[in-house]
Amino acid sequence: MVSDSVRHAARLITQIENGVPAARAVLAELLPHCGSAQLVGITGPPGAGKSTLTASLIKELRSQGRSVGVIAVDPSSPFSMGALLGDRDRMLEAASGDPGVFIRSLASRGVPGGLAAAVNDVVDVMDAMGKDVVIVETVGVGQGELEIAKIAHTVVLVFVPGYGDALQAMKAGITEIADVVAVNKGDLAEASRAVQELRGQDYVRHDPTADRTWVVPVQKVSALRNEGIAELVGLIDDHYRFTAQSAWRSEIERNRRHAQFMAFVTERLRAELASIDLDAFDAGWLRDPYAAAEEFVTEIVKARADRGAVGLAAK
Amino acid sequence: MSQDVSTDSFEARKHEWEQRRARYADKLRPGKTLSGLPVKTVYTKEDVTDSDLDEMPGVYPFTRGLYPDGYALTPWMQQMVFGYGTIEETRQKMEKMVEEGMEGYFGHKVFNTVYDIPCMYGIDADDPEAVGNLGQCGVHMSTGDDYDELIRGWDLESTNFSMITGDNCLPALALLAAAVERRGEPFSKMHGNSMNWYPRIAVQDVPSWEPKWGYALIIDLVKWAMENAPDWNPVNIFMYGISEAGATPVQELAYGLAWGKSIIDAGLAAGLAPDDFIGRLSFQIGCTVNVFEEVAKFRAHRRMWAKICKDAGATKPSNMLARVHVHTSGYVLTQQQLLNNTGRITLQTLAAVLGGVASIHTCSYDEAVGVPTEESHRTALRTQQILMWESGLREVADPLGGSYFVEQLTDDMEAAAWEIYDEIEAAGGYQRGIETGEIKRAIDNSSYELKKMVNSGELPVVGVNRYVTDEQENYEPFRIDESIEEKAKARLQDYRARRDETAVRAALENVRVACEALKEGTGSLMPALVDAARAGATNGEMMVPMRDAFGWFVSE
Amino acid sequence: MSKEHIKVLLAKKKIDVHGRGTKLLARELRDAGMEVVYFRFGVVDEIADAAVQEDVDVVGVSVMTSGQIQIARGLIPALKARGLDNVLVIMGGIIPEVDYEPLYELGIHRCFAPGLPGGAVAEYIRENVGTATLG
Repeated sequence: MVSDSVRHAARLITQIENGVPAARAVLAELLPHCGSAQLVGITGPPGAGKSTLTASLIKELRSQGRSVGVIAVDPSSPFSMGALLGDRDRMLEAASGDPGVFIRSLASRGVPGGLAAAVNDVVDVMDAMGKDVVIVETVGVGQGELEIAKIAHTVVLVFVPGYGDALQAMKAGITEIADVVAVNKGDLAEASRAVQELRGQDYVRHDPTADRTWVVPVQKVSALRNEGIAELVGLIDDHYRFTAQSAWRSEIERNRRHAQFMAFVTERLRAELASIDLDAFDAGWLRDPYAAAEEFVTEIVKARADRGAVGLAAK
Repeated sequence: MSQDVSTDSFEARKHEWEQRRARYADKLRPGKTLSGLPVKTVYTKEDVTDSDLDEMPGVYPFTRGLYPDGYALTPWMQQMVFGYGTIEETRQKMEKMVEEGMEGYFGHKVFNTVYDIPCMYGIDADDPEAVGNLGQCGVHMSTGDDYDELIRGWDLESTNFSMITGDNCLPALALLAAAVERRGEPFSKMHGNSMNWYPRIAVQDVPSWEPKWGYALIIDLVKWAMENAPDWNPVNIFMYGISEAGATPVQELAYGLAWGKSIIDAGLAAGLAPDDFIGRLSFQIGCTVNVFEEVAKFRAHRRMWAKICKDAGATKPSNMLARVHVHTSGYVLTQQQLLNNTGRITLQTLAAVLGGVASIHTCSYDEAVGVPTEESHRTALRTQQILMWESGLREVADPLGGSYFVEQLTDDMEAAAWEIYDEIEAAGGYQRGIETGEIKRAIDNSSYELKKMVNSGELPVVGVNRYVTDEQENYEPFRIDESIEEKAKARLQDYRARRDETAVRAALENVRVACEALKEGTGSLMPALVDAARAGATNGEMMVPMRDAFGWFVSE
Repeated sequence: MSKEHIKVLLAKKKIDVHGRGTKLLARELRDAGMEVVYFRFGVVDEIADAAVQEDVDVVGVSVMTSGQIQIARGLIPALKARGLDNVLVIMGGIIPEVDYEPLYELGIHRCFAPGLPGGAVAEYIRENVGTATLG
């Protein structure tokens, strides 16, 4: 039953958010069903209209018959750790009553690295649910967002022209992460000027696996009026295909799995170590915690490499 | 008692005053208004040295009132909002209110009718989304029959129809116009008000047209009224919505006036001459229980609006008048100890009258629980009538004019409001504020600040954070029978069965074409809507092509 | 019962223009440490769909222009049909106290008067989250 699987998926996502260890076993079972979703990251400064743009993307993708998962991340309050998750609200019209759309709001909970790990796992859940496209929407340009951006096959950077030096601030972001730039609220006069200027910059991304480059396209959109949206989807798909023409796409996916591996190992080791009673440690050995830690970790990694274990090449 | 006054001079008296309060003066907590403006314990002539004390009522800039003798010639209009069920129930209520003595200037009848949410949103009674909302918090009027019944027997020249619509503002006026025509009377006899509140989306979470088209529709209605129904008031500026969303009185002033300015700008951009339309704009403003702040707000509002109109090119003084209808704030009413609200409503009305407004709706004390009963609605009207006839308030125009405190507060509020107003104008105006969501964010923030002050007890609310009791309020509010839904559906079916479907389809197709023409800037929409209303199209049917053309937008 | 991360869906009836109370409550709950999915317009099925996808602990519905009984009549079965049988369901806004009992019988766990000093709703949620059932 569809509603059943939605319920299960939603609960699993909660377990992932809460770092419940049991979730990992379920994720491992899901893995064989993963790998077919196209992952799109949407990021940009507050007020850029990311949610409205995401809503437009949902509509466009649905009209093409593609199912959509959305992960919308909003920041937690650093004071109360509570959060206002308002993105879903703006996607209501696009998603209402449509079983082909699954939207989940996540609070950042103040741990950027942890968040990226959780988002990575939530992507797997939506991938395994059979969503053709999974959109990850995050605010801002902080380190945590950069991590999250790395999850996606294609990162769309959205911004609205006309707010002070928005354009200048954006240029750094483009250089760093954007595969596609969307200039939102294209009905404003400043939008055309910004598009001109950005196109003139000839931003490129270098394929890390081959000697070729992707020219970052700049698309004017009006999320409100649904203008430029089909074109934007076209550009996202172009980039997706482009990365498949070399080993680039597998490189992106390898990075993603590596991030998951890192997150799991870190968390597992922490849990494992925490469960060892203090008395089990030699008091003398612990007197120099730096040396002890160094020796401890080297031992684990080296032992694995020495015995020629699969997955980690010996140095 | 000994008198130590050695001289009658102000300086000497002030010196003595200072001595008498010296022991405790530094222990007094400095007061402030709801808007956060500082308030002293005593005001003197030193506070008004910069104030213009030479103003006269009925003379530019109208701080002291629109008319030379205030309410002496004719009292304010009593315009109670009402509307529920189908037009049949609302019609009975109209007659009842006339019987109760509700009247406007010079004995005119005034009907301030609110539509139900399905009408405002633009869906008919048979739409599944209308379930649970039909006739609940307003009247469901959708067909030509409904509008025929609305105006039946009323003399159009001496009856004012104010229509509290939502997105259906234009279709509602078209339906009214068609009904007037069916009665064999010209459009020019129409009196009343289209609320035309599109810009409220900047402050309320209400989905509506994209901003650009929202303004195009406002102006389309203005143009139609100018040409066909010159006595019709085509635009109202809904400052009440701003204050109820949580704005302070100063923010309400600033954003409300910026809203008004955005309409002026849109009219001028459409080629209208200032004196041809600015004088037809009117306001609906909120009123809390902070009596002096509200009085100062109404005084500052008239002055500021007159200046804005003049700067925009209006030349006739009559086109610079801020015609204000007050809706007493519903937000200040409490569900706890319900009857306490009668005291609040009396204070609110007092403030509005001292502020010299043109028209008043008084909330009913039980609106914190639901729709008012017949009795509570009448008591609210009677509150106005007591102030009108028993209190003596009507005798003198601007009775607080010249008060050191009120003059100073008027000036302070004006200055504070101009500051915010100028910021909005510099950032591209109110329409831009809708698009960026800036106005909504500012108001949400002050709403939360006020709530935190209530939570902490800093802002006392009797029955909520003072003098709290835990007794049950077993108050039975007015209920609208669910059978109203079937009745509304039956009326709709009956109406549709009697019309020429082919003509309706053709007229709606013309509406679709006219929507595109309006967007292209090559034509107007209102005439096509009036044609559709003539052909028998309903409120909901006219809204379909409009929604397709003008989009869906929520200010973030 | 206390829970580290409490997630709340706050919704109001579709096309109701009154949003002040809901917005204030959303902020108060956030400041009380909860994660609030805020949802301005919703018909019953949209609210229930959101509740299941977001896997919330609490569903709160704000009512300002009546219809509370119809909403409750639709919402509780819609939540149950989606397997959300232990979600806490609260209502607030312009609801006469005489309606509280009928609403409780329909499965609403608690109604709140408008304008309550902050903390009352958060406190109730904190104490009751996870213990509720939709019978």
